[in-house]
Amino acid sequence: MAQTILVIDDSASLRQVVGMTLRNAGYEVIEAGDGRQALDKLDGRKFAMAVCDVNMPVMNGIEFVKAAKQLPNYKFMPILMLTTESQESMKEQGRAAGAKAWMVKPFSPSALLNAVTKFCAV
Amino acid sequence: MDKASQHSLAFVQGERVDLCKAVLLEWVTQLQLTQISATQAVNQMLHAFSAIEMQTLESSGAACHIDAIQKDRMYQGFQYQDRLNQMLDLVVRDIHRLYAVLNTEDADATSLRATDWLERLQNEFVMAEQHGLAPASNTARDSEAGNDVTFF
Repeated sequence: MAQTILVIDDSASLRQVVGMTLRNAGYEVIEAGDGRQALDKLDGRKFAMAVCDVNMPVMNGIEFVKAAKQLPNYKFMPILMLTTESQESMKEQGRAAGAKAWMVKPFSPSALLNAVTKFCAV
Repeated sequence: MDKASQHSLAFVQGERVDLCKAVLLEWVTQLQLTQISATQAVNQMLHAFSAIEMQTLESSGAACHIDAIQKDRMYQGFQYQDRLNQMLDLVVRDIHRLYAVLNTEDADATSLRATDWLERLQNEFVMAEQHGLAPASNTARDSEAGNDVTFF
């Protein structure tokens, strides 16, 4: 059975690119347009990991990571931040919040899959 | 400067401010229309590319084979619209901020200093292109794309 990955980004085109990359590699993908929508998806279903943007309206990626880590069923869900932000201070905020990896856009699909594989080993 | 000259200067400055306010709003409109048009075009390309990929997966032959490296480049190219949108969003927000200052009679003096304004704006830059360090081209793509992964 395919593993499911939660993809969170306010850009529909970015969600589509990430979704195409992951679906072509055999993963199931659930999409959310911001952190709040993503939290609503954490309703008991199992996610192998989440791929999350940082700068989003309503609830940003750092806030989402902090909130997800408070949920018993999801506190161990690996979260990869996928963002245009490359500043060390922002990375540190992501690490402190509980993210497991930080990847800078524009991403190479093969590099994203390499990173995802580290968290979604079958 | 006599009163008449002061009055005349104030009138001219007021006219300039009014001109700026009108032009700034039109700039915002044009920038946002550009973003909408470009985003729609990219979304259409993505849908078309997705359909081509589905056909590729369904057909076992090499007739419509897409080279993996070319595919990677296309995926990366699609992401530049999002990058461009982020850059333009910041400019639009800054234009709105400037418009608000031009509309306020008693604007805080510090907000009117160009150096302070530009410093604040530049502090919001998160991409190399915004600092003029690398264009959104092959240089940026090669140096940043996918190679910059940090595991915690």
